[in-house]
Amino acid sequence: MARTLSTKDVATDAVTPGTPTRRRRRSYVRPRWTPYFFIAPFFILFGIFFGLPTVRSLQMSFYTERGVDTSAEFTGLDNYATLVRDPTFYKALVNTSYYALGSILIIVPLALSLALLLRTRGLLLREFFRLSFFLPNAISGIVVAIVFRLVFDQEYGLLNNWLLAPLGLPKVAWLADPAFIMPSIILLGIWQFTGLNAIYFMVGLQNQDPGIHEAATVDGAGPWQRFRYITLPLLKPTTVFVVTFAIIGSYQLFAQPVALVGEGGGPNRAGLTLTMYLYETAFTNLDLGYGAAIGYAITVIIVVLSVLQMWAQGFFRKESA
Amino acid sequence: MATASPRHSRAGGPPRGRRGLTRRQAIGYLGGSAVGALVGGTTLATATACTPPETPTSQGDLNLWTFADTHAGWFMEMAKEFEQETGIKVAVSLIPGSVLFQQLLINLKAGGLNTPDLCDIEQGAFGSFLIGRSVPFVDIGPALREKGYDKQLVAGRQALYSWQGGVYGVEHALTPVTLFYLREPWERAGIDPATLHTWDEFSEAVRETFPPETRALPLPGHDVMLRQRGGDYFDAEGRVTVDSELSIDTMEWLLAQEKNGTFARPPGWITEGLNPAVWAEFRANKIVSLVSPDWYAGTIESQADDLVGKWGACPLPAFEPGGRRASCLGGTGLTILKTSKRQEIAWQFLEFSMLRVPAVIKRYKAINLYPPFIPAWSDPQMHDPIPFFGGQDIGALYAEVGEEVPPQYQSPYRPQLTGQELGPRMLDVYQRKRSAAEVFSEVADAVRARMERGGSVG
Repeated sequence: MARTLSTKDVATDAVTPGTPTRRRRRSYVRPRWTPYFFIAPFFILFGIFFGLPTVRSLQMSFYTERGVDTSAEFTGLDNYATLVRDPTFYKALVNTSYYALGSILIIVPLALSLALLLRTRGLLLREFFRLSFFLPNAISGIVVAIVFRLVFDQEYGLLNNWLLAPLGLPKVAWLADPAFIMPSIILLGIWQFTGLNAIYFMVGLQNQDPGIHEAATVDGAGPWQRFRYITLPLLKPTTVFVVTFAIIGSYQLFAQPVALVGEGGGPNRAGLTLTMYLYETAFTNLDLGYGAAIGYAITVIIVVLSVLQMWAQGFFRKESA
Repeated sequence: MATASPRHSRAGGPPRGRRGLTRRQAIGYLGGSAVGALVGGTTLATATACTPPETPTSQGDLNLWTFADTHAGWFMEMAKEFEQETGIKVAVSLIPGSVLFQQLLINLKAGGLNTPDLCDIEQGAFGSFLIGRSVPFVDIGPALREKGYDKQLVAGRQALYSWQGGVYGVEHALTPVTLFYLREPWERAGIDPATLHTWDEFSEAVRETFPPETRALPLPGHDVMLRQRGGDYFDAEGRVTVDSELSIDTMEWLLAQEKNGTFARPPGWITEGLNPAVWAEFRANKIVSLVSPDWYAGTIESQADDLVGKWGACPLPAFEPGGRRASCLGGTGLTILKTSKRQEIAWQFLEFSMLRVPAVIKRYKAINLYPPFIPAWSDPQMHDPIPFFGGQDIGALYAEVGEEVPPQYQSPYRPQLTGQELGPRMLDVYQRKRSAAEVFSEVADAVRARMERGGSVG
């Protein structure tokens, strides 16, 4: 009987002569799967302990669930509608943005200056300084805040007695006067995070080709021109990284203000940050659905601000070019 | 070529001895590891944070959590005695500060995972446990009534752990607020503060007798004075009353007392309470007394031990002749968790440690908590001189004002009102940036809005 051979038959027969074409073959893992197999445990654990809770909390944000013994009731966008009318949320948003703006505008230039300073040729004890600047970042936020409570103490604190008093200035209630609470937290942030960011900038500076600077010098560029037109533009990826992480870190600020002014944020809630408000809503008031909505609002704010600053720094223009 | 190339594998599988995993095996292993992780995680959670076993263990037949080291020490002593008497072991865990309450709330929310049988709940945190369809503590009201304990406990203190007809805890301390005064400056001024029966008399005597730079006391808490006048931030039905006329009037009275030179506002007092600057003013006799609950004696001793033995105590002046001469501040109640599998034994321990005269006397001797358990008040041991008060029979004072201690009403929204709405705004009132009426009304509206949004409660 005449039989038309298909290309598949030909191929199969060619590879495994004598093997029945209908036989179901066992397939084997290709070696290219092996790496995935080895990294799978991380992704499985990540999925269970991060992915699932992330999805669950998104779901929860559309439900009203309050108290210990309660059942979740689907309320759609009710939590988000409450959020846009919640004055405490706006208070926390303003406070957090104040910190973010204050810390970024001060920490980033300060860190860059430090990095440039640490690059100075012939600087004595360079490694010691690098280590010293990094050390505050290795200390727990709570410990730092407890130490800074003493620094900010109105009667016996270092700032009032060693800095303001010798200048004849009156004592400041750093942690009791609402006007000074956020500046105090920013001061703490500067102390803790400038060194780390300086190290990022130092890495960025080290990666710059010295030849470009030398060529500019030969062409008659002065130190300021070299900094303005060569160093800074070449540092753009580092700056984007530093600012993005500063935004993320600022909007997640929690331990330091809690230890400095308490969970409620102190007088007039001047130290209340978004994550503190989330914690208070979800774990003190047990308003889990609303807490989840606050969490997602924080996520959206961080993503929007990060993308905006990357766009402002031309990050996407560079990518598309 | 003997090496297994991808092509080789595709053609007929790797050669014998170098066989890889089949896809099915790989998927099986991946699934297995996922299930393993889940099971492992669950097992780990069960091993480290399991619901208490139903049968007695060597760890403890009962588990008790407390947040104060002083309470933990006393409970351990009680546990020893309880074990000697009944053979039942009680394991006492100290989880310091507010961490305990948040941990317990989360564990209860997780279905009762790793919850104790008994737990100390501070009155300020108790309200958070009232949000939801039911209260997670056992209603011990019927048991208290059956044995007559309800009449032996000061009713005002039990109000702190009562909600919608149920009683969910037994208070450790009477927390009577009286007037602590430094004997020496008052004696020098020739006044016995105990003879000043009303606040008007008190204020007048202070201004006439002491030098202008001396003030009687740092501003007492608004809630403390409000309760002395029979008010509170909530009423017995849980309605918000912080914006009541009585509440506003009390705040205005406090500010007037500061203005007329009777009360003081030392540095950090409003935001931090007792602090080194306040003690400096006491030592300099710029402040000579303090409106204080009994348990402040321990705090004072730890912060200003040089003043130990120099204090006297007397009833508060009343707001009107014949009026109440005490208030209350603070408190902690021992509760039994509904998730406990051994509620009967838990009740036995609660009764043994909190509702027996010898036990509460031991607690008073050990940690200075004057008991709200009335039968203990007449015991001679409760009248031993206390070194802190220079040998004064402080038990007699607390027994005298004990039944006058006002009620403090609970609400699921009490922690939110005090910690999140009123507390942060009070500085504005003390600094006279905003009026009491304006701030209290704003606070009440905010809390009422929360209550409206709150859904089913209690």
